[in-house]
Amino acid sequence: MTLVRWRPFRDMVSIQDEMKRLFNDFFGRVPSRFEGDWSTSEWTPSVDISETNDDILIKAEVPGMKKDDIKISLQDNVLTLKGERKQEKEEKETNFYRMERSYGSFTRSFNLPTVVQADKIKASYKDGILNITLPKAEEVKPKQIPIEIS
Amino acid sequence: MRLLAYLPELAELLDGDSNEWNPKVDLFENANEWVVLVEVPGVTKKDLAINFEDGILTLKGENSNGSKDDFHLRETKAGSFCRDFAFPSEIDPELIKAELKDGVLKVKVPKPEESKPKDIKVN
Repeated sequence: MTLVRWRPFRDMVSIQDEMKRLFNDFFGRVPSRFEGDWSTSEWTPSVDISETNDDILIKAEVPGMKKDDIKISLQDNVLTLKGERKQEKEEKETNFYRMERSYGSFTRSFNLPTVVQADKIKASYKDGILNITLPKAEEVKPKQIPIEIS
Repeated sequence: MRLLAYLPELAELLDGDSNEWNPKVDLFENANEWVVLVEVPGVTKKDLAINFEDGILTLKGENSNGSKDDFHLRETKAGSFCRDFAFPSEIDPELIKAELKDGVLKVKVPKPEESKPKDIKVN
């Protein structure tokens, strides 16, 4: 019998993260016209939203997904990510010892912090990470105004 | 409830490592092999290390998230990870295969003859 390192506290942190996200998603979520939205999410990808001078950057972790199974849309400055992660056929008819990954569809919507140029949004997918670059509208970009000191 | 706020720090202290994350894992078997699927988004081949010793399969790696942008929301984890799994020690490490695709690491561990399911006939 061999031993594997026991790290129960780390698992507790994972559970805590999930709980936090559940609450944030529920109370902080964007009001949707389709009330059914909430029930269609079977899992929630981790997302980072950051901002540079020129862009809003969104990074979503969707490991195991195919590019074509991800849909991105923008309406009223609300960005919506949708997708479905499918379980491979060989995995369906086997004995599981551990099943921590989630499969099925997800929907996440975000109120963007500033107005963006919808026609210049770019997205790329690599190594299970979806990167979206949303250029800010000209009028909201911070401007450097040189002031002469006399 | 106040204690919960310190949970990440406490886990670091008690489990002994800092700046680590725990990737999600599926582990299943079919007649001929065990298969481990690990979610490692953003991790490249060169940042992964797979080791098999005395029946323990160890998967280690790290991802970087070094941007210093202004964050509105930050849910992803960066740093190193390490997970280990116990298998029967008779496994031939040479036969273990691993592939990385779309942020998922798949490790196939072939079963030794004695671990394969056998049908036993009733006389």
